[in-house]
Amino acid sequence: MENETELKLIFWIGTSIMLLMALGFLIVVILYHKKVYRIRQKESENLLKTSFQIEKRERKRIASDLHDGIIGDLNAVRNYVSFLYTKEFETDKKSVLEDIKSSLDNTLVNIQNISYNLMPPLLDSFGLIHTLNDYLDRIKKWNNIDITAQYPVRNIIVSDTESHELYRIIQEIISNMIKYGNVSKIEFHIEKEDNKLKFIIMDNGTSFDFYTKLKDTQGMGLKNIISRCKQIGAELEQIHVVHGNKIIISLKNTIC
Amino acid sequence: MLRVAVTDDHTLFRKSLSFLINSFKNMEVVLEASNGQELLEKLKHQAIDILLLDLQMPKMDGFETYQRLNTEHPDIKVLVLTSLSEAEIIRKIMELGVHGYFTKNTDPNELERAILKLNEDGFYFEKSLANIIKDIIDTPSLNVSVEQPVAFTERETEILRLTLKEYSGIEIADTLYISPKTVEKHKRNLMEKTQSKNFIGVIMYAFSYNILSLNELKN
Repeated sequence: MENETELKLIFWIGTSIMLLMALGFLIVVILYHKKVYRIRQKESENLLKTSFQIEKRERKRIASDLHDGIIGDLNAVRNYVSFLYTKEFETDKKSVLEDIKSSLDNTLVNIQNISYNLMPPLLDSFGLIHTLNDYLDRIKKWNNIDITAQYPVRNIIVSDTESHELYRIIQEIISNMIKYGNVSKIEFHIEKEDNKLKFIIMDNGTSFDFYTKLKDTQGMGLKNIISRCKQIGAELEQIHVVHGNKIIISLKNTIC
Repeated sequence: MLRVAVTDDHTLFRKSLSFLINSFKNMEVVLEASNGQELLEKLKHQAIDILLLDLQMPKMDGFETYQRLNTEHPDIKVLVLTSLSEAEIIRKIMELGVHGYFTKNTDPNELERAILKLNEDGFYFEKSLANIIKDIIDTPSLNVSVEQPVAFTERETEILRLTLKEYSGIEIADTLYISPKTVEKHKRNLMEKTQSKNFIGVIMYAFSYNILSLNELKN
């Protein structure tokens, strides 16, 4: 009888040790997975950050190569053609020179637009507000859209990276609005609230839900916006309005 | 013979510009420099009347160069050459008090007229400015202090209007039946009144305070 109790005891102790070991093993595995996941996430965040930085650098490089190199060369060619034109008296040669000049003019305008889209020249030297102002002016002229922009806060202090990402975010949102929203009116303004800078964009186009659209596989532009927000620790908030859309980008800003 | 200097860091462009200017009558390029520092150095040995100045240059850019020139060589008339046509840049150029600005997009043949006008009238006002001037005035909160505008007399407004129509000093005098000297006096008065460094300042002032309407520039 005594043997039986002892055996039972040993059996139970053995089983519990086995169970504990299994449980411990399970916990180790879960913890390990969590850690790996965290490292991976960190890695992908870093990767994204680097790729944004590289993108910015390359855009800047190409834009300045175009602007300083090619545009200068083409302007020089244009001067020479202009000289030849004034010295030429044969009508057919004159008309060829005229054609050359007008194609040069077209090329120059195209390259200037490409260079501007890659990197607006004002961003580094004149800051975010002037760049946005200029960008909205261009949109107004090209798309025949009524844009009202107000900047009650003029002296905002944001870092280079922040101003670059904010510019891209706002540009992406507005070009999405124009592309898909059937928009005829856009309002843009900047507000300061507590320690936050708020960039508010409103339109009168087709309403859409930002975060539903985001899950859509086609929403590459929107995913891009969210990633860029994450980069600079900004938040994107959509306020539901009766007509059109209202999107607020808020950035924590302790200096302003 | 007008003595012209060209300052631009893009060699091929600078050469082409000098070539073009040398083909114009009564003017000659006597100095070429690739940045502001080189220009100031060369100006010690060579006098000039007109300077074509690029804005974006390494070492010493156009803005800084202009400020230095203003104190060291105030007689030189400066035409800013730029490939940038953003309202903000043009506003900054205007605020510097340069005598004229010329976008690299403008027809090169217009350059001859620009240099001659700069020499005769002391300023050159590019026509394409009409499109951008509205943007500059529409966002005045950037720098202009809000104050009561000074009043222009009828005669002063008349002179301003004729100047915008590209009348020379003598033509204005003939039209208004006054002497060229009186025209000059009125122009100087206007510059003092509006605290402008040159006549472009007066024009900008007149547009900003609606003393003249922008349509007059376009016609």
